[in-house]
Amino acid sequence: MKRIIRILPHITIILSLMFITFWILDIYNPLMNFIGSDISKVLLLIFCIAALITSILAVALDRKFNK
Amino acid sequence: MADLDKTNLEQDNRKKKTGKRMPIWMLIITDILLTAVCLGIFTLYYHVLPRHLASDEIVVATVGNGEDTTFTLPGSENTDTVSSSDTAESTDAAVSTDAATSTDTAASTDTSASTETANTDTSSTDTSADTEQTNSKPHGGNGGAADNKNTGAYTNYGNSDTLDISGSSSESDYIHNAQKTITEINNYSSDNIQFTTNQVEIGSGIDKITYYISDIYVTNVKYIKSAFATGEYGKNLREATLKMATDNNALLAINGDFYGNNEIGVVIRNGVLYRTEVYDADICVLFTDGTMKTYSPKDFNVDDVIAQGAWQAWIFGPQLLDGKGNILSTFNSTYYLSNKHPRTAIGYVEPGHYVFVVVDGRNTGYSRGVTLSELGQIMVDAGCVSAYNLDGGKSSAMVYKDAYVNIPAEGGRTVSDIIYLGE
Repeated sequence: MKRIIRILPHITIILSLMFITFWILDIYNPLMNFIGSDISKVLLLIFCIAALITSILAVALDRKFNK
Repeated sequence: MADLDKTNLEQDNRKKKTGKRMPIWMLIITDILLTAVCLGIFTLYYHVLPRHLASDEIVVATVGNGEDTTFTLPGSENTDTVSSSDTAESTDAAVSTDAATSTDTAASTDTSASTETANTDTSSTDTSADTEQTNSKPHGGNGGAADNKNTGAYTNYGNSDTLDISGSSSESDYIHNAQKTITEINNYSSDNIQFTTNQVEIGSGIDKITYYISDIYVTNVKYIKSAFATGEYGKNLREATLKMATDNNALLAINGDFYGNNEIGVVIRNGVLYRTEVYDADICVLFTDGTMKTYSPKDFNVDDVIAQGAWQAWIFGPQLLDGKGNILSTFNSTYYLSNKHPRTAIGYVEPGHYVFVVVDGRNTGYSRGVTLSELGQIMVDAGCVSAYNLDGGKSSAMVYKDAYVNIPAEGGRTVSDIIYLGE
């Protein structure tokens, strides 16, 4: 569990960098459909879940620390 | 004091349990490297590894069953056509190799030009009595539109990613007014197909443009065919235009719309419907009655075009003309695609009369490529009322009888489909 919690922020970082890359590539060549493809949608879902859990943990830790 | 010692002891124990932590700079580098690896895996799977795509392959149109619209070839009452052979020397001189990229196609082009200009085939290979079905699935329709018009739902993705790129009248005027050096490269004549390919040179130095234009007449649209790489429908399936042309006994071939780069986009080939999704790109449809129309995504309805008898449908774009021979003022494209590039285009003059154009580029001193406006003007000058930009860049290639006519940019690339003329 602890290992998952430690890995999640890195997953979020990696996926966010990937989507920034896709976004830039999409500006130059939208016909390649980097952002709209089925694989990108799955990655986006994983990204959102990772970001959600990471953010919840961050809020929880912040509240615990401030107690 | 005792409490402080206890806290320090707890922290030391925690450090011992967790072990040595990775320094922050190493963490950053690790994340960046992992991002690169993930991007590489994504690219490999999505854009490199070939895979077959599932498709219902619905036959939506047939030709060659005796009920088709047929056209008359120009001068069809006189079948003894003879081509002059004195273009051989001028052809060799015109295709200068001092500025060309070093590719094997250069040699084959010269060979092709010098030996093929006098070729005339007047043998009768008319197969109009046979049902022309390039797909193995049987169909009981009567030609024209298929009886089954229910193609299922499709999604209109709208026009959100491409932009309305403004055309330039100065660019099109340059093409229209420039002095052109025209050299006949090849011609072909039979009972069903007639075409002449010319090499056209405009300008000089860094501004030089070289393109190849084939003026095509057919008696039936069944002679304008499409072929997939490896003969199968799929993603990332690619072959050289030359190989596909050879495998399909093409008389003349150009690269297609690179449908295999995506999993969406309307694909109808030789009367068979493979997929129906519309996205941001314009669509070009060749109908069984010989007409060809181009559509913007918002104006396109796949069921309507199938009802009208769609024989071929391509998805790359943009459309260049307005259907009346006028260049569009804006193009549904991207900034990158609107720059000067090697180009491939298909044009429509009237039923039975079409134009293939391949513009070379990225080769200073030989050909710089053209913008969309310039390409539009080339098509207008050829007499087209509709014209459609196909995949360009390194993909642009024209093949005549197992040899490249043009010099594909940077050695060319493998593509997913071709458009060709075949008996």
